[in-house]
Amino acid sequence: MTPEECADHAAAIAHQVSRVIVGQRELIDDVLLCLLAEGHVLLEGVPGLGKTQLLKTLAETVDMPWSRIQFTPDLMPADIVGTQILQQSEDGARELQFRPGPITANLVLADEVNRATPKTQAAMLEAMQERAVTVAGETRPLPRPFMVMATQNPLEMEGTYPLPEAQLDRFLLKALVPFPSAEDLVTVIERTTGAATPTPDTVCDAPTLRTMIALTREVPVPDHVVRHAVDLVIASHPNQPTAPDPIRRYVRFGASPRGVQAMILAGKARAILDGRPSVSIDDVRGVATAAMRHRLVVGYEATADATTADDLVRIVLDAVPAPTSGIRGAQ
Amino acid sequence: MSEFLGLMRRRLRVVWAYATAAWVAPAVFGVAALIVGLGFIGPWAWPEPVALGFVGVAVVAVAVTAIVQRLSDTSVAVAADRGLSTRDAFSAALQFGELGGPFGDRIRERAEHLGRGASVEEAAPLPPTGRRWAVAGVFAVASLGMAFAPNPQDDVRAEREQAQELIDAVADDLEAEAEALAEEPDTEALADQLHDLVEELRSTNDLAEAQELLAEAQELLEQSKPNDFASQRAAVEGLDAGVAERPVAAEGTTAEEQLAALAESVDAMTAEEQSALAERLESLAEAQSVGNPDVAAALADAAAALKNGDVAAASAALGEAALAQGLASDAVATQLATATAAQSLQQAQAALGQGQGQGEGQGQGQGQGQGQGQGEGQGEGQGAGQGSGSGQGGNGSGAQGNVGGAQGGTGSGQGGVGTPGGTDQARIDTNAGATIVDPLVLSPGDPTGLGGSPTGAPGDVVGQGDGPTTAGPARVALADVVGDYANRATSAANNSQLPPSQQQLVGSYFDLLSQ
Repeated sequence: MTPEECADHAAAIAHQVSRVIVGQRELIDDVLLCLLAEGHVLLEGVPGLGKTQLLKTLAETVDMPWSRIQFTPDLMPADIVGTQILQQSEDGARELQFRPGPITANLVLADEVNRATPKTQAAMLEAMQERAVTVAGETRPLPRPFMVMATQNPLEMEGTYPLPEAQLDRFLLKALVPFPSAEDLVTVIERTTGAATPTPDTVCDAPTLRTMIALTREVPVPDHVVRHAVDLVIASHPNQPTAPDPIRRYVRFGASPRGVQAMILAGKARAILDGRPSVSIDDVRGVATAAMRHRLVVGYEATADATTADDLVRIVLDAVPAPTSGIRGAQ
Repeated sequence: MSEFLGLMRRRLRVVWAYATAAWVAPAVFGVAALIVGLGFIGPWAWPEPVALGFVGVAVVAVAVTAIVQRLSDTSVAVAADRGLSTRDAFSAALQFGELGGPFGDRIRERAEHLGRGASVEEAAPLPPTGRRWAVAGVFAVASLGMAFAPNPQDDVRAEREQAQELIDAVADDLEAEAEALAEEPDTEALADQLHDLVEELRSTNDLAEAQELLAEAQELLEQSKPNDFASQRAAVEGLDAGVAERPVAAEGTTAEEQLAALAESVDAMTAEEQSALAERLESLAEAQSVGNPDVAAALADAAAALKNGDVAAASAALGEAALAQGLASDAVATQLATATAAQSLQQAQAALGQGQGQGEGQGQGQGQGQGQGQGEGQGEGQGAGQGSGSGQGGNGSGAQGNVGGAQGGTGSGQGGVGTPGGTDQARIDTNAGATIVDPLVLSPGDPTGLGGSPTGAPGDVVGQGDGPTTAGPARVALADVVGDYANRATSAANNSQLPPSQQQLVGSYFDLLSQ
């Protein structure tokens, strides 16, 4: 597969999703980035904005096994990763058989993931990082590509449990779902209240997606681009000399090294989607907010001052401008 | 792409030079304005050239740095990427130029494609620096305005330049004088001191300081001049003139040569000749006794030996006299050179004084004048040749004094003493071989030889009517007696209550006679 074909496939997927999801182009792109980077994505927004619909639509456009897990407070880890059940064979012998949970799919839609208890949320950790589950001492790999597409409601809402930092760190990007504009909302109403509801076509299959993911990982990244991503992450740490004052004041812990990985991987996917053969500074800076906002552990001062993680990432971006040539008078 | 990056590199040098020039221009022109402004504080000649040079050096430094500074390929590529918003296409192509796979060729092709249609001017436009140039322009205009505006320090500066030119000219003259002095015997030290003075003169542009230096040097030269120089010179030259007029030997022109020749030939003389020679030597010895005592003693010894008939002793004494005369001649030559140098210094002082007087244009000076008067007397003879007269000398000129930098001082000279001779003017002839009436030798009835015609009333005894060309025994060679006269006059003046200026006047008068 050539990069152009990869980009065409990605564009086809985006087009199919756009047939169902009105507007939200940036959100769709973020999800596509995670798809190409085989990274997990966390969508955050109030109920009713189409988060679940977006992920469901995406899953339908790709001809791959997918599952949906509705996270509730009484959801147990075994309900996710699967469990062993006692089975009796025809000859009367009894044996434990493993029954995979819904996590065993290429695409996992974890709906309202922050409604589950931390214990259940922790069940996702191994699956998301190792792409494997361990049940009864036996580790079973998950099918590839494996991608968790989770949604969560804002933490201020009732009945939510904050995701642990370790799990948040495993999401490649965290996308915010904005409220649609009035025009988009009119279109949504027209599409969803009529007799016919648009359904997406399947335009991609698992092998193709695996090829796309492999190709995305091959996208070259210039050294100065990697260095810039590193500089951004380092500047998010309050104890680093390059950290701006607000970071020192509001951030308790900066982004982890996974933040750099996320920016580079998402940058590669962004380059592919844009039809370019290499990652640029703009790609990194373009995904920096989505890649770092959930990786900053902010203090209570930030909450008290109504300073969000997005604000802090913008501060980091301002403090670490795109590298220039260093030649006076030139950019 | 490499071609584009090459063009981009050259463009970046231009951009760097422009941006750097704009960055430093306000400071450079500000400093230049400050330097030019210093020209209003003091009469310095350097502010404007230094300001101009400062700006020039800054321009050259910026240009040279722009040319020679190293611009890495990565920097050039990043600048092109940023300028053309090519999403790091050139940087990636630079780094992954050898990369294979599905992306290597595409990276290179993309960079080539972007480079073909790109303009380096668009990729690296000149940065907006209008405000900085405006500030620099204000400073530049201010600098030019101050440079061309009337500056009161310009007049002072011009005066200093004139003074410097004057001092340089004086220094040149003195240097030539020092060179000439160095060729005389026993004057190396003085010549070196004059050289040092020249160097010090060249290092100053202050007229007052230059005059001080000249005054010190002149004082030095004056100190090196013996008090009896006038008599010594008169004696030495008088002896030369005397033997030239009345040779004592057949060979030689100078006294030294003639005395040496005489020492060789005295034994061949007859007794009468030796007797006459003894008389002559005694006369010469007497004339030399004041200014040239060594020669006088040797001549007296020779005369005595001749009278005693000791020809060998006379010959030896004559040899000693010749030797002493040679040494005295050398000493006189040295002193003459020194005197010439002193005269040059005096002239230099006069020139500097005049320059300073012209330069400052004001100031009152009261100087100590030194004048030389050319005396012209009118006398009236009396009776038996005793004559007395008085003459009024003309005002001297050329001397100058300097106090506080102003030229001033006038000289005055006292005329010579008139001599008997009726209404004829008595003129002192200072030419070599001239004669003068020696009052010490003059006896009543001796013709004075001054010429003239009787003007007395009938019955009066006026003059002797010997006519103008008759020389009596009182008439002696000026050169023979001027030294003695000078010595006596100087001694008398120094022992009197005359003010120093008048004492100096007397000395100068006889110096003039000696010359």
